Amino acid sequence: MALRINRMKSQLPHQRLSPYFGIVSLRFVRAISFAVILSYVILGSSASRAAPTRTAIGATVPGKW
Amino acid sequence: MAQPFPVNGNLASYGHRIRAGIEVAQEELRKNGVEFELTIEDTPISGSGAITALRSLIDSRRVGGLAGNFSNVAMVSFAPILRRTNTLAMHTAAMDDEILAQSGGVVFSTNVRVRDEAFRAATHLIHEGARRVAVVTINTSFGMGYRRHFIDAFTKLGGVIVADESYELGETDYRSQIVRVKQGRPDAIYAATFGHFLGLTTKFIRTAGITAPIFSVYESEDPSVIQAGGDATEGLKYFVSYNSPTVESSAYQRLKEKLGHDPRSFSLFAYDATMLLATARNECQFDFECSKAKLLSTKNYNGLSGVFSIGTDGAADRPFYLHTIRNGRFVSAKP
Repeated sequence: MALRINRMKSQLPHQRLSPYFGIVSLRFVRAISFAVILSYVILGSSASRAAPTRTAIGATVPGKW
Repeated sequence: MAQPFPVNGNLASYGHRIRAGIEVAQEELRKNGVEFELTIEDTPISGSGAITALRSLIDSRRVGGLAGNFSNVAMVSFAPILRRTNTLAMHTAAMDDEILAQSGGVVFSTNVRVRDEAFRAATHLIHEGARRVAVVTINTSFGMGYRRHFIDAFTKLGGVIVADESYELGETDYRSQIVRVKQGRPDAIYAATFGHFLGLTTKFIRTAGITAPIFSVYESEDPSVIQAGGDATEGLKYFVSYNSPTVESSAYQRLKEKLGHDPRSFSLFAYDATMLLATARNECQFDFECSKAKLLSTKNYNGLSGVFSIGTDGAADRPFYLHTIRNGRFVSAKP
């Protein structure tokens, strides 16, 4: 029993999560979120910028119909 | 591609006139430094072919607006796509209630509202002493719109509808409907239809021995009406909302040369629609909201089709002029 406790104790430092893990993972989540929002903003604004390139005009009229 | 209706070629003359108006406007705009690429899609009156034509214009040709469209049925199905893609559309035909309801602020027309024209026809017939009127309608949103508003206005003004007959878009034999019209002994007949269908209607009416005057809509002014109806179209009356200029401008003359006759509703409306749309988009640097506001601010515009304003619903406010078919020609009904 004592041996098992000692073995567990000896394993604990290796198995324990880093105290920075939470902060790091939070930063990771934030970074991902930021990247997602940034790409949405960039793509969104480029989509809205795409409108001015629509300089052409069309018409829908019967011809052979 | 399967055709939704057997109308091959019968509507081509409408398309030809809209196309001519747009092309002359493009030439005129080019002179003023306003350049745009123009793509005109041959479009069926309804069905998946119409949607495919619009998608091709928006997705492949990258058009920012429609300068003209003939079919009311197609425009109703276009409206959600136009709204979703911020594409402005000028509808060259009269605006029925369904289009006005679906427009979402993106569909405009240099033409009037169906209800305004139908009301004008009803008041005219009452004024002319007609109290018993038979209505013959083509069963499309266009025809049904005219029918509904005409009957509403005519009965409110004290008139009586003695027959209310309709036929489908593809039908070409209206004898059974006309028998019931004859039984109603009408003072006049209101034909809420267009093109060669209208021509056939007049033919069946006169063949049945009915001599009552026939009144129809602005789309009476198409060669297909006379081709289908022949002499039966003589004396047909209708209101138009364009006003031929007293002095012909160079654009009017070019349009006349292109058409081979005096420009009428569709070519004039398409010309003005193209001028308004292209100018608005150019002045707004292709900004959607700005262009939309610009079109809505059109007031007392002196166009090739006469002076008109665009209402808050996108349809045009314009006066009406009584026309008729005389000696096989579309002329003013003024003596």
